[in-house]
Amino acid sequence: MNKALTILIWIAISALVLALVTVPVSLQTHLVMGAILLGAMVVIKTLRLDGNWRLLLLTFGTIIVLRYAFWRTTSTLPPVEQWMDFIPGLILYLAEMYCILMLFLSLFVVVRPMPSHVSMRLPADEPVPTVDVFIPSYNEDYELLAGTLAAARDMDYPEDRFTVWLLDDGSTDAKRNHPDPEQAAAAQERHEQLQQLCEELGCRYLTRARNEHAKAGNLNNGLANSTGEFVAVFDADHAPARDFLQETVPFFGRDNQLFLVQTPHFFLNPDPLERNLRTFEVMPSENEMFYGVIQRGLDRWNAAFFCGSAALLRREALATNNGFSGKSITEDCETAIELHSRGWNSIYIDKPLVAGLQPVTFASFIGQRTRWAQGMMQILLFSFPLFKSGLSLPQRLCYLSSTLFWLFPIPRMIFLFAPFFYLFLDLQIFTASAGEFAAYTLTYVVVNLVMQNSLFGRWRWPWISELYEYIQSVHLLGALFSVARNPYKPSFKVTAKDESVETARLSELARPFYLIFLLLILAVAMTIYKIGAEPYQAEVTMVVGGWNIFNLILAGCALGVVSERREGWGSRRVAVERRCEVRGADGNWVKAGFINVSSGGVAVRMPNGAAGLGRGMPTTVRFTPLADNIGIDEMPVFIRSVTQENKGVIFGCRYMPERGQHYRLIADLIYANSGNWQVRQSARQVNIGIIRGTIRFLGIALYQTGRGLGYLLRFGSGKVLGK
Amino acid sequence: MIPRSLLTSVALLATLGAATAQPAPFDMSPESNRVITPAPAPSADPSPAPVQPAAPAGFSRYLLPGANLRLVGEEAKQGVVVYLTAAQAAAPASLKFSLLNALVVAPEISTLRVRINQTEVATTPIASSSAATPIAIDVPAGTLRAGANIIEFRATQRHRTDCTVESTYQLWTEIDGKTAALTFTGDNVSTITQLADIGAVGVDQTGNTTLRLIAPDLADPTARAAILHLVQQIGLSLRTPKLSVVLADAPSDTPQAGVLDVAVMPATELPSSLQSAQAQASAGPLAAMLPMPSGANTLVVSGPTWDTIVRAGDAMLSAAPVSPERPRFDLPSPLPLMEANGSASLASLGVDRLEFNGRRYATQLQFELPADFYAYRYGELELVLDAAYSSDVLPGSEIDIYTNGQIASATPLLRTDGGMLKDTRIRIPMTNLRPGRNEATLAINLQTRSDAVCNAGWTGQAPARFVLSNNSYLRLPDYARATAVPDLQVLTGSAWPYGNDGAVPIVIGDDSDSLLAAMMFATRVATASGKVITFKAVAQAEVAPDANAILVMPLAAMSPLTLARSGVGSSASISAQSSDDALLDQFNTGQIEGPFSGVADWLRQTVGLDLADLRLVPAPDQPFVPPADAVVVSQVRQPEGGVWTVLTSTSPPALRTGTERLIDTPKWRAIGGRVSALPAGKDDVTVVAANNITVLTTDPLSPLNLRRVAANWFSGNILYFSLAIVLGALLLMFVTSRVLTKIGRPS
Repeated sequence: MNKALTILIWIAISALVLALVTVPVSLQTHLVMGAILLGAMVVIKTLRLDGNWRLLLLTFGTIIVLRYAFWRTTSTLPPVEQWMDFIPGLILYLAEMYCILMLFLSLFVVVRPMPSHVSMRLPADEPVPTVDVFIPSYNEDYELLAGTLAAARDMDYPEDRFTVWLLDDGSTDAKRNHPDPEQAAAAQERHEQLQQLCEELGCRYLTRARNEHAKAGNLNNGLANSTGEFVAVFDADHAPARDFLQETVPFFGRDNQLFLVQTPHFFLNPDPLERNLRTFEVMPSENEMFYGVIQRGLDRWNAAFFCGSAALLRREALATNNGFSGKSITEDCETAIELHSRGWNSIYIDKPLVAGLQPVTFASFIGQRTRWAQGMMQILLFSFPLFKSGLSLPQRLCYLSSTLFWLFPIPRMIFLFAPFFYLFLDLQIFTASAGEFAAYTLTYVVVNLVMQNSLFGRWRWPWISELYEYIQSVHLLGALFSVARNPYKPSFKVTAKDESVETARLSELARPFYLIFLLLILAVAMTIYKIGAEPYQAEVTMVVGGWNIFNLILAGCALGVVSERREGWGSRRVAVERRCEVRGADGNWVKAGFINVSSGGVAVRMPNGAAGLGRGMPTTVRFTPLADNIGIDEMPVFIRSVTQENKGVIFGCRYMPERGQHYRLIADLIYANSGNWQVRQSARQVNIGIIRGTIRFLGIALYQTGRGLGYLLRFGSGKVLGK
Repeated sequence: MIPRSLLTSVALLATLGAATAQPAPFDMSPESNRVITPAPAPSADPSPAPVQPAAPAGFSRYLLPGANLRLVGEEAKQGVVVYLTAAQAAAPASLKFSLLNALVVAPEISTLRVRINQTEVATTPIASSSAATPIAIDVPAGTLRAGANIIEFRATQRHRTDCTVESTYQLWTEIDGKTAALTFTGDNVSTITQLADIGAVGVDQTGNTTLRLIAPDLADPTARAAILHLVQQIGLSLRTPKLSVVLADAPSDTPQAGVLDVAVMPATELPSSLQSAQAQASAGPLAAMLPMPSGANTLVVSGPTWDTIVRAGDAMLSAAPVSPERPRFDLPSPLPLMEANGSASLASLGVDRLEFNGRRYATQLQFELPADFYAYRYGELELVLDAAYSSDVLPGSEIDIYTNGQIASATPLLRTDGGMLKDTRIRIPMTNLRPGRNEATLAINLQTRSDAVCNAGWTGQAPARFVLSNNSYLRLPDYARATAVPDLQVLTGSAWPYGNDGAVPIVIGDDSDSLLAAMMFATRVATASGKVITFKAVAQAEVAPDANAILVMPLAAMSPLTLARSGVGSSASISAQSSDDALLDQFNTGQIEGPFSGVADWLRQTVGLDLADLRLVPAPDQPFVPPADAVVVSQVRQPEGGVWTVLTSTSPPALRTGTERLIDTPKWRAIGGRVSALPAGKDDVTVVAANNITVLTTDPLSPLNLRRVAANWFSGNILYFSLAIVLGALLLMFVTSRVLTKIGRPS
């Protein structure tokens, strides 16, 4: 069968199934059918059947969802004449339809995620292509930049075929000549320090006259000053692994139209939710769903897009677009959609090759998400993906999915407030009997859970998506409206990632969360009152009240998220096993081994005793770096802690880097082995199932509600209650 | 209804005959009222005409189509239709009836109002709780009219002490059928002289109308078919709900209420007492009310041959047709046919605008659905309500809708501060609707603050608290059009599948009881559906299994072959084994026993799911063994395609008497399923639902109708829907998997 015929048959059968699905059968018939399909889905999921079984599960789920959508559309909207009911009813309906649309779009995207691309090596007989490595920086500090630059320099690639560029936007001419002499001096100092660092590490330093077009302008300045065939981009806080170029460059040889090889962003530190809920070590991170399955799904449709960092791009392709696009504040995705529409291809490699930092505080997390949401909205407005010429149909759907996703704050807030219309205002915005609600809505919700869990269960535990959406929605909603009002207004704000939370406190953005929680509590009280006072509609009240309680659980959990725990940065450790030697108090080298490393220090095991060293003493460790061009192998450290262990001891050491090369040694320790990161990721990528996940979530929510309220009592006097 | 073309051709033929031969023209145009008035004094035979019966000084017409008339609840309305001749309408008349009511009805605030043709003629307090009180009302001149008159009794009743909704069920007033009558004074008020006035035959004291059939030997199949046709037409013309038929040898000696003598025979066989009609009858079709010395109402239907007799019957029906202006005795309120997507305002259904200060208001309305209405399993109709209620009304009040006696929807009034119900849609599942006439009750139950207090006398003083606009309307969706067979309801409501066919083969037992049963049954079908079925009488062996047919005969008269196709088994015909099964099975209630009965009950109660709907292969329909002397109606779709309806019993007299009881309206409306049986001495009809149902469509199936038919069918065959969905899903999954190998980046 050829492709067109197959697709025609698919369309015909889909039409047939759709016709069957929209037969207006009785409630009982739907209920039995729903129960049978749901049962089959649970069996398929429990037995972890794959291949066509997985497709069957998705088909069953789709049918139930379609039937719900059909019923919702034809039977549940309040009559138009009763506009008090109808308008909120319609809004809720549209929110639900958006969710269903997004479900189907994401179903399309991840229907068959690409398996991992097999690593390739460069052909031995061909010339090695030249690569420019861009590290744009705006305000990151010296230490961070030193680490990243060092890691980039450490990459395993012929020395003469790649150049590492620090693109410094923090010391542009304009900044150095700032009217405020203090700021001008700071910029000047930064300029000189970084220039020196680059010199020591063998990197190139580049800055420009003015900060035009933010990150895109900075990168384009880099393009203008360099000539390499390929361009690698790393954010200042994304340090590449040694094998980054080895893993990415060879793919360009295979496809002349390839413009992008994107790799995942792997983070060494938790985001505020993971930190405050203490889920970082056990639960898959938020972005793992995107990089673990969605990008792979997009890759199937040649629609994996540029995520601003950890990617390798082809200069020739960028040239056709006059470099990186800068119309929106998410230059990465915008560049990708432009190049895709010009017929260029992208691939995604599902292997962590950079290790980065993510925002520590809730406020900077929201700042980052605001930029993403606003940027994606700009893309949606400026070049609506569904009608963007040059894209293939799958690419259009993929970009539609990626951009429309960021509308989530709107339905999330609608779902939050919808029960109030009934509980407080007595409006009937969803006309259905309790029986209908059970037969249609409940099956839909359960089917939705089963589908989500079977698609994303390894990367996202139940209800965590809802939590992430909720904590962002409260502040993103306004940001979305501001884009709608003036699409050109949002400006690029660099996300701070090197902060730390020195003391436990409430986030400065916490107030609305507490207010919403209070409202929800009031609604619960109202529910109880209504059940007692209006027994004739107790059934409906209980259904709506149940929904409100779900919102309350979510909002309670969010209180924990905005209650910032104390934590310094750089304390997350990566296990390593490498030999080293430590200079003893007597000056002799003693054999030892590294246990784990972090960005701040290293743990060293001394199997035969402390060699006269102790807490508070400086010393030196030496080891053989993997990179052969560093030139030194000794690094000064400072012993911060000593732990006895059997015969030996373990020293907790802090790095005391003095020169550029020392940073390269640190990078060699931390970023040498990207295999480590993958192990760590896959350790927490476990599908714990809907039931366990739900119980676990309830436990977390209960605890976090208490913690959030406790923080309010301890720290909330001024901040939250508003002065 | 008689097809228009047939009518005109008959008319043509008749006028032709009249123009050429007869001095007394035989005019059949339906508009005319001059139909077949035999010349009062034909010179040819002057003897019968001058003999005028001694007109009684007074004449009473009984009114009620049932034994009595009960008005129940706080506001009740019942009406009857009474047909009068012009002479009766013009004569001074008084309305007499007797009243008896419940003790709890408060006399000072309860009244009965009587309306004739929308004119209120009397208001009387309801204060007859100890003994029936006779009441006589002089009907104002000009109130009555020739033809249909609607007499309406409206009771407003309030409880003496109790202010609860429940107490309103104790309120009743009864009018006795034996006493309710219109009494006319004057001459010539008792006789019916014109065919158009045939409805004035009316009812007897018990509400029955009886046809005394004077006919020659009816062995001739042509004669049987003609008489069957004629009796249906008479039944329709009379506008009676049910017609008892008895055989008589000679005309009545005295006039009797609710009895019509009908002589049906070729001209040559007319007895001497009816000689006056012979001359015209020999010349052409004749249907005429013949003045008789006895004063009894006598209809002569005759002609040179049986064929012409059939045409005379057509003429009669066109003189006294079925039309909205001529409602049935028992159906004074409008009866519109509700088409798909149709709507009808409450006003057009006979509901008045309401301002109500009581606790429970209930009003009846009715509408008709076509024979191929097939949406009783999935669809919903809407009542779009315009109403308002005062702030006295408490939540917990309810608007309930019953369809054909079953609760179909209950809508609570939720707002607590008084409210407007503007275009409020109440969705009513069509579960109990059926082809033919449907009855619905709109009931409003009001809980109020002041009723909770219930001061003395409050039941009568409360201010209006609920207003209902009769601009509110019923709206039907685009419902599925198809017919399920077997389903006796479609036959008893719409005459389907016999009403529209050509001549329907009918097999009638050789005895006269079978013939009478056939006549009464066919007439009841006609009065329910408004359709006359054309029959051709055939022998048992001649009826083809691929044709729709009706069989009326006692079980013993059936050949084994016929019996096997009848859906009924005589106890002898069923093998020992299966009767043994039946014997052992007699205590089986059909309910699931054991640990799952709780689950089954729960499912039935909460979601209305019956586990019986979950079977994949329906059990075969076993022959129904009728109890002794029960009358049984059975419908079977033969494998060859014919739909056979069998009316039978264990003996000929049981067949006749059973049928006569069966055609009583409440029992008639209870008929359904594949078999319905009325045991002797009982009033409850046993209904056996069909396990195996064939769905037939009359029109070519449009995709949209196919979808709706599928919705109804799947809703009764639940597992098949799941199966179809699963198959569809599998197909979709495979083709999707195939497509996925063709598109997207190869792995």
